Amino acid sequence: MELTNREERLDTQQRIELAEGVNISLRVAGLPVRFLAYVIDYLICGGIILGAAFVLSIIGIATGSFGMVGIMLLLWFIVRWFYNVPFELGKRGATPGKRAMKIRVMQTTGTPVTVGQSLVRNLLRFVDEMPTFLATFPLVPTYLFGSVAIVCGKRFQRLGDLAAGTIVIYDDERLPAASTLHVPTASSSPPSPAQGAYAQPQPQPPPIPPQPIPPRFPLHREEQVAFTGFRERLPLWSEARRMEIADHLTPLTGKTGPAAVDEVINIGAWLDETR
Amino acid sequence: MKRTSFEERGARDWVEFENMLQKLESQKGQPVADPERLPGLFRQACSDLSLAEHRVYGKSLTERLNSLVIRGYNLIYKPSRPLAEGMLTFFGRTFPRSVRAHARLFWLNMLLFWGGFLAMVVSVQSDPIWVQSVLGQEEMLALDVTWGERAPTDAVRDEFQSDFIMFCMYVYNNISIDFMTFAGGILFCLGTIFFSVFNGIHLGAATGYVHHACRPDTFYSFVAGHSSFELMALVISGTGGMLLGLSILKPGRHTRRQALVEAGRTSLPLILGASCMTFVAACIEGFWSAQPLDPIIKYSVGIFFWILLIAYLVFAGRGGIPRSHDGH
Repeated sequence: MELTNREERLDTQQRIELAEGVNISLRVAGLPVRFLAYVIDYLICGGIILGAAFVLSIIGIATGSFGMVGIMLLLWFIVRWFYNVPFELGKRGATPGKRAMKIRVMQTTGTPVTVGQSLVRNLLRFVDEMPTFLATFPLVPTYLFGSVAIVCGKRFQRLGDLAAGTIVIYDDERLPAASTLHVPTASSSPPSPAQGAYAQPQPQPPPIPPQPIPPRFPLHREEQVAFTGFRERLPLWSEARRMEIADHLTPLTGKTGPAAVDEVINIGAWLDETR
Repeated sequence: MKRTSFEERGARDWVEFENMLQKLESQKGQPVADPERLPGLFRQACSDLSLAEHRVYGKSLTERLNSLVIRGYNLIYKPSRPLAEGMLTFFGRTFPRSVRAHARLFWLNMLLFWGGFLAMVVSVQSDPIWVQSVLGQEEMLALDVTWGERAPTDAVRDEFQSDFIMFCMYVYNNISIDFMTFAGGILFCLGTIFFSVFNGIHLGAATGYVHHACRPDTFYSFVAGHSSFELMALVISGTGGMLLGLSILKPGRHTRRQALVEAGRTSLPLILGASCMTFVAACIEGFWSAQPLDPIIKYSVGIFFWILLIAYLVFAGRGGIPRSHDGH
């Protein structure tokens, strides 16, 4: 799938070639979703610390010993520097916060992170979270440095990611399950309730069935995908939105409104059926 | 071939592959019927993905195959890590070697740390104002309480519990300082330079003050045992941090991004080894340094550890055939 000028693309796809010679695309996660994941993890860490403080102080009072203070310090040390590490090395490659946001950590090569990489990216968190307030117990990081690094880079890496060679990407759990291999096309039934959330107002069923017609103009690979994609995603849009999108093609199709929508659908159908 | 027939032909393999992935990915790691089929199914999915992309079979199909391939790739290429042997190689070979490999940066950090340290210690002989202004009122008071004329001569702590608390305190505080010194390096070395110089000056000032105004014998016999590991660990962490920063400032033939990733890899043994050294120091400082022993014993142990550490860093891991790659 080549595009003449990749720099102009607006999506967050990262193309990576595997050892098997195949290209995969990863969708890197941006600042807002990573921020939300971090907030969840921050609350979990806080919960661990406060819970441990509660339990340990009860034990300390009951036994009359001060040793619990030491355990508290050790726990705080471990949570502060290494909370992420076991999670990132686990099967999901994600902390609970990242799992909740459906993102995970990976090497830039698309493989799971190694111990070393996980350590590097979490040690460098100290710089990413700068400037911090109250640098001792209730650590309040601003993540200014990390955010600037994320926003500036094409791969949304904070400094720790850059040094470790890791990226944070969307996990694939959200993709359709095995049963939906045959995607609903324009001629199929109206959208299921699950899709309804995306489709407000409720779209009308498209004119059925499409009459495949060949395009009267040459199409790049990427443009062909756009035509077939239009047809696949049709049930998610209202009629007005469909026309709005199809009207962009008026210079090519020479049509506007519902006629343009039909034209695009028909070309998409032709592309789908002739290949 | 039409898309629908392509899907019909591949669907059975894909579903089988996906079910297998699901079982292997689940937390308990359920057993799979015939695991030897996994690589074959994975390669099939790879080639199907390439075909689907080449023939432009549409987004939903390629996305789905894409996700199957990623999940399979992650399972198959998951790194295995034998821990015990790795540790042996690490301390016997990797760590001392990587310190020697970056000898110049190491000496630069020695200068950064010990320069300030010695300057403070020397300055107090002629004029204590420098040391006083570095430490400030409160800290001098605290040093007086611990090491001053009226402080108890021997053991500052008497029971195991407070030993343990101090040990935890040293782990928490000193290893964190190592980590910060290392991490700060990514800011064009500035963080590392700051922490190295700051700690050198601060520790030097404390030493100078105690030497000047308190009872130095108690102090020196306390710090003798753990000083080698703790102070050298700080210098080695700094070396790691400088590696990070220099990779950005002076990337050489690589791009800055590549150089940084490479530096992250090569500096990791340094910070790991340094934090282990600080951990050893915390054990000594927590459980042994405050023991009521003859100062002569403490000094000899301290000198022994210095010699041991220097010999380790200079001689360990020389020669022989490496059993595994250095600096993984």
